Amino acid sequence: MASNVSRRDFLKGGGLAGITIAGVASLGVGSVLGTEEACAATATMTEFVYTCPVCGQHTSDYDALVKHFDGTHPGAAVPQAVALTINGTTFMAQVEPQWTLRETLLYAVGLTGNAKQMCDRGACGSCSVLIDGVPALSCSVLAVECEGRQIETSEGIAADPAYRPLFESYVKHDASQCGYCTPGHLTVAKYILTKYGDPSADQIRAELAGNICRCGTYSRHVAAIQEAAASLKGGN
Amino acid sequence: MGETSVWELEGRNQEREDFKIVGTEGHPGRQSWDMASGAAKFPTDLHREGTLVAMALRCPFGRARVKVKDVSKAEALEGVRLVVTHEDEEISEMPRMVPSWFEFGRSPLLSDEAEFEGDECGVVVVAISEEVCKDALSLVEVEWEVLPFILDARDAAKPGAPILRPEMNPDSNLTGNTFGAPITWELGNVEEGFKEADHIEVIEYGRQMWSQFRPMPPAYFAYWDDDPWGNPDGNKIGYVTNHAHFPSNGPIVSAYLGAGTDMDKYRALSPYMAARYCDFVEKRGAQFAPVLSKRLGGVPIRYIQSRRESFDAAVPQSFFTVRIGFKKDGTLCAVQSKNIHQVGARGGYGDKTHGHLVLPANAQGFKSTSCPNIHSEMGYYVTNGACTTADPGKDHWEPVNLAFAKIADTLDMPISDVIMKNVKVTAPSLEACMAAGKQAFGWDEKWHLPGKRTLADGRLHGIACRSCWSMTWGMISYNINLRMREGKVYMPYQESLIGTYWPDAAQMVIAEETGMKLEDVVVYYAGHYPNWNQGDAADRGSTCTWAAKEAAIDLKRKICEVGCTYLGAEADEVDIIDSMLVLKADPSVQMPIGATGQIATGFCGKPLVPFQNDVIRTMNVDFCEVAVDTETGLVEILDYCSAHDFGKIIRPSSGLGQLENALTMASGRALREELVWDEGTGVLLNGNMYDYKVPTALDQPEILTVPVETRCGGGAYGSTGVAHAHCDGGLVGLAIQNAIGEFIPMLPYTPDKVLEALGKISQGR
Ligand code: FES
Ligand code: FES
Repeated sequence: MASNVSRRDFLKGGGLAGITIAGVASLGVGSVLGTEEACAATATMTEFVYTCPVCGQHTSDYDALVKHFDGTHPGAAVPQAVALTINGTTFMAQVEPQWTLRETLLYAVGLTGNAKQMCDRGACGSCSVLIDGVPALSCSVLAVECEGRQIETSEGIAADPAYRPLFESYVKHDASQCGYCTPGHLTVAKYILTKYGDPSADQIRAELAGNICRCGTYSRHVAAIQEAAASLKGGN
Repeated sequence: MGETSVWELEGRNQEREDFKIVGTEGHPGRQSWDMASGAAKFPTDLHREGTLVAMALRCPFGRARVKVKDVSKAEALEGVRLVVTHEDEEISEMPRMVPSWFEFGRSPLLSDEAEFEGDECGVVVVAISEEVCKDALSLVEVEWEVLPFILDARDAAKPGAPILRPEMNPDSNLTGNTFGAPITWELGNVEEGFKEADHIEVIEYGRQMWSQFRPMPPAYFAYWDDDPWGNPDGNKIGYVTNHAHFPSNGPIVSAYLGAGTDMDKYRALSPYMAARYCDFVEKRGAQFAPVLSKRLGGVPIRYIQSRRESFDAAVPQSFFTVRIGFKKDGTLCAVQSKNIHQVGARGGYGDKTHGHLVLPANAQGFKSTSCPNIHSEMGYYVTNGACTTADPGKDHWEPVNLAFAKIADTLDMPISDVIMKNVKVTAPSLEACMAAGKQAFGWDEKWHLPGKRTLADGRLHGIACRSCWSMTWGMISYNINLRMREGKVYMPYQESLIGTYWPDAAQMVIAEETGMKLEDVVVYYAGHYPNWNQGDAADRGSTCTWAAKEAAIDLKRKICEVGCTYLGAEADEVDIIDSMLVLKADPSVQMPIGATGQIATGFCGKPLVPFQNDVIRTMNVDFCEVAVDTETGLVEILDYCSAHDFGKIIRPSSGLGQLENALTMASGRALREELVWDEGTGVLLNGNMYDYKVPTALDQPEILTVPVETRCGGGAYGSTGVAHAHCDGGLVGLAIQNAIGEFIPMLPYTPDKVLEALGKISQGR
């Protein structure tokens, strides 16, 4: 179902030994332990294996997959390959035409920070990514619409040395309680910093109004974003 | 003022004063990096190539019986891998092992009766995608027999109401509670008490169903794989998402009970379960995912439960009518309480699912007053609508505080004074909280008689405060294993993380007691420790630190006993400082503790403090200020102030964060949150996040947190639980009463109810 690309070890910190994420692309996942060294460069895609989502057969190129569908599953929707640029890396991902960006992040890319789904669609902000620098709900955008757009996820922001102060202030202020909504907040936090530079508490709350946190961490986001703004202004 | 709390200190080093680590700031949570970056994998994030999807048929009616007539078309659909019905031999026998708390009616894993709209029944299909599952379910031929349903526990209690579970009780919808706690009891003599009263009043408190609203809809994922250790029994290992919960790990135990494989054959897949409120409702997917996976040779299965479907779990309804008698000075002399409490639908399989394992939400809270005469009567009534969780003990304080407000209103007294007059044990905790909270909130400057203050913008201003206990969870034992290896101390855990930072608090306590540097204590997730009770929720997480402390003391002693010989000394002549073994007489003589080899210890135990109902050592007082728009009925919570006795605050940032969390939740429950069904069909009307609105960043009131430390709790160094005590919405109702002069008997305090109350005033009632 997904491209088999070079994998990084980023699952280690998630305690998931033994589970394989299909087609994980290592797109600037960065630190899972919070160390400077782990704030790493993005990986390069090296090879793809295309997988028939109906019967699981693998092919080594996309045309062969299309042929397989013509012959074996006539009438079924043929998966598409789409060029996605995520956290600065462009790669081809096999997607089904109806897949949202959220599903693509989960099934094909393996970056699940912004694949979180709190609502059924469009009401929680947990799935927020940045598309061309602006917050977007990955549950409400089709993957095929994203070709040629710059997609940023929480993993990419956390791994970006330029936004290290934001990531660190999130950690310092316990901006996560259970952590389910936090990656969605982090992406919008970056947008707030780029939009306002030095945002007020009211501006932060207004911009985060679409990101629901059942744990009520809102005031922690205000503190973290303002502290990050001060650090970024000071050149840290 | 009331009595002073007296108790025996429990365990070792409880009186420690020389804290180096506990109570200090600046220690990021070990999981915080992963949670913020998105590297943390929650059950919803798990996916493996070849994962199949399972979905159940869900009932479109308030209650119905389904007849599954033909599944052949579904089975024939391309992409379908399995169709099982409630008549399936294996499924119909589940659960195979029945825990004791099932005494009030066995809940089959899948039956032909659906107890609420959205309930799983009749058929489950497994297919290659959600779309194929939906198509397959639409091809199953079924016939529905619509049955009468009940949405309100008060209706369930009425004579002549349809009997919902005749196999449990053929005569009525009345059921029992698991702990067997008495539901009718009397202290003193209530009728005599009322004779002594100068005033007799009646209060009413009602609460509709709140959605449990876990941020992550339950996400069940499981597969089976070869045993990597090659155990000779040949059984595979079941990997299961973990929503860990006392008294064990929900899905793991569910899987164990269901699939009939030994407990050691289960591994939890993720330490993250996202937040939950109190005891949660574990749904059928917990057992279906591993069972269906096993049936299909171990292939990964994702059992789908959407957000819409996740509104099926709720905090139960509770309705109180309480007659109170009190003297001219404001002291209670008689309480007669009647309570109808809800037991929701069956609809799952984990612990707590039936809503049976509830503590009686009766007049327990009044036992913490000095009122000598109390009569309590209650009934649990089965309903449809949704499954319900257990009901946490702190709810007992909602009617108590309402009674205090009624006394205050009758006698033109501040409620703060009524609280102090009536709570039985006030020193040291309640007195400290009340004093600190009043000062921080500005109570004396803000308080006024009901309806007597209008803000500059024309809205009515109101304030109130309420008291409650801060709980220590001394019901269960905590299991702590510590191992020192190569200069570090390791503690494995398996309970999932729900936002309380309890492993980080345990880490701080272990470092404090062992003398290790904080970074040399590693509290880590080990998914292969099924059925280990440690922390998780607010009260249990804090109490777990007590066991961590005891284990740490044992480990330090062992290290010193082994290490002292290297330094040519006796065990009591050496100490551990900053991870080094040092000679007390000459601290320059030291060696790394790693040189002593591997040393391990285990501790299983609990503090002596019993469950929280009858022993109140740590308290808290919340204050609230509201503005009420008399034109629209809209209530704005201007701010909260919470003076909470942490006993001893171990990790300040997360401790205070829990207060913010709980009060934010309370604000939503006070003003908006309520499940609403269509009365004619039993269909849930607001099962989405637009219509069931939890507070956003714009709704969050100002929250001022005032930590109090009396060292009176049952956790390490006298610490105690936090969040539980603050989640209810009743305080806002008391503040509204201070603004408008009328009590509103039912939460949430929506504009229509406020307007209705204001209308009563204008009608001169
Ligand atoms: S999943 Fe809720 S807005 Fe996208
Ligand atoms: S941290 Fe739990 S939902 Fe936001």
